[in-house]
Amino acid sequence: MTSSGHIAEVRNLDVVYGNGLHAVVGASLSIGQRETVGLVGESGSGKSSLAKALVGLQRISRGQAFVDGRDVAALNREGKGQLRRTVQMIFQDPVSSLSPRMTIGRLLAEPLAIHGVPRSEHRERIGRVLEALGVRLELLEKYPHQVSGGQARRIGIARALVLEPKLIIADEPTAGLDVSVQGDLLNLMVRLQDRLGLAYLIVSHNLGVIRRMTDRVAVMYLGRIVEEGPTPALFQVPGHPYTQGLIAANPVIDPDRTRKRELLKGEIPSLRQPPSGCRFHPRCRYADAFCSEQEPEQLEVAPRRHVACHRAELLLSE
Amino acid sequence: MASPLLALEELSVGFRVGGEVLKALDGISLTIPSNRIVGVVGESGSGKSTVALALMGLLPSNATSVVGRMAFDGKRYDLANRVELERLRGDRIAMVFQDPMTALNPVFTIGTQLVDAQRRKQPGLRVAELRERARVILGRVGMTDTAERLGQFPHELSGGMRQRVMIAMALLAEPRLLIADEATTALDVTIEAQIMTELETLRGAIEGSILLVSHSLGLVSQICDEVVVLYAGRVVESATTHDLFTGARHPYTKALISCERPSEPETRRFRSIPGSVPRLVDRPKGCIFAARCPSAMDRCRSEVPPWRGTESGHGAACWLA
Repeated sequence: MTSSGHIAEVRNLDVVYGNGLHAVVGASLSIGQRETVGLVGESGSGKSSLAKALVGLQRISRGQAFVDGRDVAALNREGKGQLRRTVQMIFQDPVSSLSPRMTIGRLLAEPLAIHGVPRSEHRERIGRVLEALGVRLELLEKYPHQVSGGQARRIGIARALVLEPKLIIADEPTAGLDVSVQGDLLNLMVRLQDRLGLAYLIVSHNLGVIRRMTDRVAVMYLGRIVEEGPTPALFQVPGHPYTQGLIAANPVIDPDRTRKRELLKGEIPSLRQPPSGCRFHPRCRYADAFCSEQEPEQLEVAPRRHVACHRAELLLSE
Repeated sequence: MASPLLALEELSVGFRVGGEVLKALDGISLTIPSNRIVGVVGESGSGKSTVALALMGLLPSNATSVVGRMAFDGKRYDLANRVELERLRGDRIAMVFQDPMTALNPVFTIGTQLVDAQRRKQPGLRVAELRERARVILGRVGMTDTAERLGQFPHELSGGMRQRVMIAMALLAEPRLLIADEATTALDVTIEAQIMTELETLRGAIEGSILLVSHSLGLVSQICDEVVVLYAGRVVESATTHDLFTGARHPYTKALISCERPSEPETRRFRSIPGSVPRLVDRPKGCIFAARCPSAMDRCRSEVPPWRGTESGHGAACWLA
């Protein structure tokens, strides 16, 4: 069903919550095998809702999501179980998701038992994952509070990996970590990807991490993907004024203040009353009357690069 | 050189945790010149927030053995004397914390809270006048529709707006020193950039200084005039922002900067600092950073390195500096 080589793909996806909140509108995105895709945008942009729809944790209201060739919305119970083996999520604070009453060995065997992996295979699978993570086997006898924070984080990741997923969704993986230890986690993610052939969807507001970790980036604003393309090109010349604003606001080290700080004005509006026309127009410094009337279409401005902005040509030629 | 707004001398703070005393700060000295923004950076556990709380006289009750003095705005204070500090707090020194929701009262409107905040300082003004002052100050911190905002409750505002209210409240006291402790950490970077730009312009208006406690080297590099680097409760380096980021002298500062600003930005190899901040109960004999330092020598493990400063005020506590 999906075009070849894609581990996951969403087409014109909408997510509408029970309270009427339209969190994702017409999103299309694909993630290739072994590819790393970043999802960025301010809080309230719909990043997490999109990620959840992809793993089947959030109902798809319109459009389609495919994972490993299967239509997520059409899956029965058994199919959903399969889906959760293919796609695993790593959360912001994996440590708090570890039950303090279970040994690490049991914590790692639990997902295997739930997904019906024969007991005889547990030891080997866990051993393989711990080796890839660089965690000693002695740790299996311990409880989460008996290991360091860094190790607990690894155990959280190990829990996602024992099911041998093909896609990992990492929601703000470096949030709350000192910059001095972020590198360890990111290096680990890179190493695991190389060894296990994983694809990643990294949801993050840290553009420094996104820039270096990902092959492609999608930028979301108020439920819509406003720009999407190869990471180096998108960072070099952003095609959407919102992307431009996000990059400018990223606090990179700049003691001599050489970068011009074009600040985005205002805040992301409520999803309940999205602005007319282009949703970004009230905060956009390029907007004119047309932008407030006509919603821009996603245009392919370069191979595998899409921008939804009436001024994209202008921005890209600057 | 004019005397600084604040000069902190040899501040040490211990916390009683379980049966042990954790030495969180170990002889911290720093100066904040007038009309400057000074950044304090370091990893979690470096003691950044403890410095801020000590200046405010707000250390928690398990803080034992507080020792240190400061000269502030021409007067000397004993930091162990909470009563003395209480008079400064919220008046000449004001602080903005990370989470505005815990500092704002959910059942009163923004207007009521901003009016109440001024009563002690402005006993001669009528409520209508205090309200107008509050409205004006909300505009100064980048809020629009200020008259309407006064009638709103904290939960009706976004996180960024709530933090602006907190800054406005701090400014209403017309402090000489504003301490911002990770004040924008929980906000989107777009909103953080807006608020920081506003703080920068407000510095002139308050005729005072700002102490910016932050884990973000990027942010500090963009808005601070000077930077103090803390590690495990000690100052390891201090310099002007330019000097620190272009010519760091302490191995810890160098390592921290290279984690944030990679020398090979296009690769997927990330830098980190191996090891972790030492246990503050039994401090090592020599340099506090020696165990994690790539350049450590024998001497570093046995003798505490002296503070070595240059004429331009760039100092570092390292045998190699």
